[in-house]
Amino acid sequence: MDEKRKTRRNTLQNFLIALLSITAALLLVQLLYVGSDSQSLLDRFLAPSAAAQTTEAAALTDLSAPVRVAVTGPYGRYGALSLATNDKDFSALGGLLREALGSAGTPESCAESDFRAALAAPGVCYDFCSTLPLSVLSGLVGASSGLSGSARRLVLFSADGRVQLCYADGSAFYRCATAAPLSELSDTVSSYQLGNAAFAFELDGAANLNPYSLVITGDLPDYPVLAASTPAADTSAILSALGFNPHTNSRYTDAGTEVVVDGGRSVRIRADGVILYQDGDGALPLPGSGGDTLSDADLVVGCYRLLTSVLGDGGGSAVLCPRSVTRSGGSAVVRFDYQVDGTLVADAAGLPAAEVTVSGSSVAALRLRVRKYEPTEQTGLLLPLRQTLAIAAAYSGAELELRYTDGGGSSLTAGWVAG
Amino acid sequence: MTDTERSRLKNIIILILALVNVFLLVSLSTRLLQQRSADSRSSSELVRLFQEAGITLDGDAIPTDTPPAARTLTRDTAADEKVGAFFLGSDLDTTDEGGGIFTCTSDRGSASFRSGGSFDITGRLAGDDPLDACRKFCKRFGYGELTFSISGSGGSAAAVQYYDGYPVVNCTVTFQVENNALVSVSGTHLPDARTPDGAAASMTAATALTRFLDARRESGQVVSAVTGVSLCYELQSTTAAPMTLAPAWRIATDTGTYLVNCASGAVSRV
Repeated sequence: MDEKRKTRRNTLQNFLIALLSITAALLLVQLLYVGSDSQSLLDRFLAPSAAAQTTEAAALTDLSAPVRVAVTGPYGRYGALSLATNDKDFSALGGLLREALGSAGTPESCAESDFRAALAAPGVCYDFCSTLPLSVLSGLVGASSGLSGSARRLVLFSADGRVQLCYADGSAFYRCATAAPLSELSDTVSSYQLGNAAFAFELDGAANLNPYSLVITGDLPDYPVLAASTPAADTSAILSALGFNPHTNSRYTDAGTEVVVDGGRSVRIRADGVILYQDGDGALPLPGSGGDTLSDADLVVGCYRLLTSVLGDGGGSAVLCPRSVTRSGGSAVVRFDYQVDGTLVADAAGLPAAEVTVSGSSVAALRLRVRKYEPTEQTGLLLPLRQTLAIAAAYSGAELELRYTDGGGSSLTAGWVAG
Repeated sequence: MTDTERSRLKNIIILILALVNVFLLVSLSTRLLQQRSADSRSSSELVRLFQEAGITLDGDAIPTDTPPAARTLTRDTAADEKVGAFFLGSDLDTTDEGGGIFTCTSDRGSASFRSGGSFDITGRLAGDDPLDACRKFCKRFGYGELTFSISGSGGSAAAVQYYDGYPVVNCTVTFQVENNALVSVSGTHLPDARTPDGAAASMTAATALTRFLDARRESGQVVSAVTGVSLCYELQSTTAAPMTLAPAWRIATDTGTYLVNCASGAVSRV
């Protein structure tokens, strides 16, 4: 009998200990939850960390490329000179272009007069500020396109009851039909207030300029003055990003330039913010390169990932955007510029902000100029259009563009550039 | 250790655990009471602020709900096909036009679906009882707040898409009825497929109402009463994510409905 009672008591004690432990744990969790804000602890635990959220680009849609847009309606044209592909304001226009590029039929060559007619027809012209492979342009708006070649300006316009795509590849012009809904193009056009923009070929006194320069004839928006600086280099982060041992002793300083050598590879970090990487060993694979054959999109995304890891947060509000992809034999050169809120920041000497040479699937050379740009409360004054055109007329064939020009100073003002 | 000693030790453990439980329970109750009291004070303060601005706000109508997490949805053409098949029948010819455009055709009509979730279906879609077809569609595909505007043999109906139990304010469907037949359906349908959820937004209704009050002061819009506050989703689109559901507080007033984005705090009018 005693034995039975002992066993029962023992069982009861074990049960009570287990029960009280569980209730204590539950009460503790509840207590922490009530004490915190409304986000549950589990959510916090499962949510990706801030560091993980400042992620690497996995696709071209993660890049932000500047795009100028001209929306043409029956009674005028609307122009926006400073949009970026990942802007909310660009989402409807980008969606339309995504559908058009993704569904584009076989392109047929056409005359330049057809291109101008397309610009004059109700529709939308996208100017990506530099000539890029069509596969890259498609990727920037989330499309997968079978179009080959390169383009800078693409025009979607209404003709023959369909949405047509017209673009220029160098001096050749192409046109193809798309499956984008005509109603969507009409709705997009009618959602803009027209009458504030024109192309140079439509303006008096602009005959000397590149005919496709888009200018704002109405009131220009205010552009903030940018504070520019060259941040101190984080050598360890740069070396880690380039696959070096950050604690290596194989380093020396040469006339203000820190030089790190590892076998046939070297990194030079100059005092003016320029980082130069040379690799004779093919030891640094391009991020995301799975095989030997890299598409233009792979090249751009891979180089962007590498450059952003080297740059860190050194660019401030500026982001790198693709400027060109040039292939030669088994190597390719990918160039990038900085852009701030859809406006290009060009180097005064015309150099790209970054240039990566890829040989096979390895990085053979890299040049990055680290500059930090932050918009200030101040706004800059832009020269009125009439005076701008009068001055630009002296530069025959020049394109008139609105951009920031960085000559190494600490303050940049947006302005018209005839280049 | 003897049985008696073991038993005593267990009793001590039980006692300690019981005391810990009592302590935690008291702490929890105190915190809950403090929180309730803080909520009540916050509501009263908010009601007073609104009164000073000439707006009537019922303190009891301020919800204490937690906003849901933002959702990034992924395109699912199988879901599009199901929507098409509902009206056009199961014998469908489907075509991927590229660029996210997906079309279905049958002898009853045609449907076109786009990457952002919008769709258009036209044809002779339901001849026998078009209103019943609208109701069945809404029930099956997660639409609510169905309203009819029918006069004689024609008219229209509209409904709002619901996702995870919350209305998606800018995601609706419109039905057109002509000669007692459903001839077109257009709107937006959201797929179930989605990427893993991110962190939940933590904006409370009180914060949202404060943001709304600030925005109203700046805009100078005339509002004299807040008639309802509830959680909803807002469909947003970017190049990288064509379909993102952002949680928002929907503030209904006597002169219009406003949305306060739970992540950015931005106030917009519906």
